[in-house]
Amino acid sequence: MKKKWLILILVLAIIGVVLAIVFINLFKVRDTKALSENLLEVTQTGYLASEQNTQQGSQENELIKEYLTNLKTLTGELSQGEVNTISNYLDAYSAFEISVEFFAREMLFADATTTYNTNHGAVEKSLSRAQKNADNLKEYILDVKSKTQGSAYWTASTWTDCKQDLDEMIENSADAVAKLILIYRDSVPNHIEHGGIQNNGFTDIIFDAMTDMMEDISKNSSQDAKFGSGLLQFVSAYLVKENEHVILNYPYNTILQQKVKTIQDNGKTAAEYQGFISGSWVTLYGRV
Amino acid sequence: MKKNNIFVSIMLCLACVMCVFGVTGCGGTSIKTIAENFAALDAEYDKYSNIFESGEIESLQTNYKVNFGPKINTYVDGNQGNFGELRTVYNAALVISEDYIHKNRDYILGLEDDELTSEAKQQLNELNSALTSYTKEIQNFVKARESLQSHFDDLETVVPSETNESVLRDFKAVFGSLVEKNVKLSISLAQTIEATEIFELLKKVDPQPSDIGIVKEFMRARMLHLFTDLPISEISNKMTWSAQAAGDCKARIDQLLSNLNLQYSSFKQKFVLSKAAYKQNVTKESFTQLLDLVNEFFVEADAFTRAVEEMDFRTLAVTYKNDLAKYVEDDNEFGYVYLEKMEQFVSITLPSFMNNIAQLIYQA
Repeated sequence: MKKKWLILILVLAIIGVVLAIVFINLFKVRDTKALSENLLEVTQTGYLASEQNTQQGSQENELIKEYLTNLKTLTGELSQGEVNTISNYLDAYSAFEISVEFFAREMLFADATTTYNTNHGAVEKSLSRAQKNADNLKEYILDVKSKTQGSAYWTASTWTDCKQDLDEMIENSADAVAKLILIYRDSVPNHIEHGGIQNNGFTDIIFDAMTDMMEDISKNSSQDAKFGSGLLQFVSAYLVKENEHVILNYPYNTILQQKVKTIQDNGKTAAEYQGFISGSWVTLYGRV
Repeated sequence: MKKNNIFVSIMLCLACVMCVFGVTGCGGTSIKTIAENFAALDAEYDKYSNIFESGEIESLQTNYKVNFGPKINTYVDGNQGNFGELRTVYNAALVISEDYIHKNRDYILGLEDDELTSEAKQQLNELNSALTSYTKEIQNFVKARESLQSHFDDLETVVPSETNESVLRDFKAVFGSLVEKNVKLSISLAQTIEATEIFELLKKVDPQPSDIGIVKEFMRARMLHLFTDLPISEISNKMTWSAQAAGDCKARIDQLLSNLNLQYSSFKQKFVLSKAAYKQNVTKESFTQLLDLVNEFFVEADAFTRAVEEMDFRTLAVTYKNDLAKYVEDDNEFGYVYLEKMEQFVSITLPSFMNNIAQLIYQA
């Protein structure tokens, strides 16, 4: 009798294992569409919905930018460090709109790798937190605007009240972009190498530079007002739809490949680095 | 007690069979089976030798020039209405695809089963499935051709129940399916050849011009569907495109189709009809570079294919009257992204790749 039960349990266990394998395969994440949907939503209707992305932009997006634009002119009431930070945040905000829009487009065609599975939830969380910060800012700005009837709401004292949400919005956005870079790098084949030139060497140096620039904005934003504009100029050169042909043509452009290799070998000391960072490569090496 | 033992044994056997089938599938295809099925395909062509005839299409000598029947042939060769496409689009694609299959199938048939890698064995199953599916489709095509003929033959004596345009569209759908399955068969053959690890082996030896030819043949088989998926499978087979609502979106798609057609001509000139000699004295490095570029291109090509599959052109044209904004709002939030990806691929990646590869493989 005992033997009979044992065999029955064994049979059930085998069937259980087979069914588990079938279900795991059935519900495995196979594509990156879910993340693309999330990114598209943020750039179409959320806090990153700019005029450039949607032709209209969200009210929230316009309001925050208007507020920061006015705030940075208050040089008499704010310290130079604060003005620098505000300028950097304003430009970084626009740079994040372009970057996330780039990833929304590209992620749709990326592979669902382990890095994707590990990080896509974190990207969504960071963007959701940044959205919450933007919502708080919108509420605050509208409140001040209504109390002061729009006359003097951008006084220096409001900066102290909204600084934390702005810091966090920029930080969370930068964190999301950093993780998107990780996912993108892993999901497009990077193993192909010919003549010492990596297939995605160009996007690699683009993302390395972006990471450095975002770090400057997070850590040293009060030191110089040019960190944000540098990042904005850079992503506007390489990541906007109209200029994406430079990245697409990279495998067929030996001059560009050589320049990229020089930067890979010599880093920021390479003679080509300044041209690359300024975005002038788009006009120089855009078409084969 | 005995009954119980029998029951338990059966259950155990079933569980084991489930496990084994779950992991390994239901058996493999041998080279012999593939050879038999290619012979069956040849026999099917022989059976319909009055339909698949010898002749020249797109400067290619072929045994697959379709004889549509005297009356339809006159319309086709006279490029009357939408008949011309039957030769220039549908038949031409079939001929190019068959040309590849004929030139390359002997490579697979010459191998031994025990030489194959596990991936190649897996590919062999898919090749077999594509092969039998295509062979069966020939019957459907023959029937559709007969219906087309009888519709136009009866026109003088019987009032037709369907319009000429809709009969032609139905026929194109079946012809399109035949072409699609043949193109799938050629892709499957190319992938099976790749799975034999021939390219890995070629990387280790001093490359000969004929080795470049193997890569070129693989590439052209894998590329053909890029030119047929959109115009044949997604547009012509599903609607009369020229009759759809005009506007910005239609103009954009027309431009896309026109650019793709231009690239198709370039593809045929460079990789199907070209008689140029392959480069001599190719180094291992430049041969590896060629393989890398080909692999890399197919990553972008996969994105294009996905965009074509995900963009529902029929719904966009018929339900939304080619109003892209409305289609994106109500049906497919990625509509813009897919269309842009297609445009980008056709205007940037495809020409850059083909020009580059032609320079790498042919003598100046």
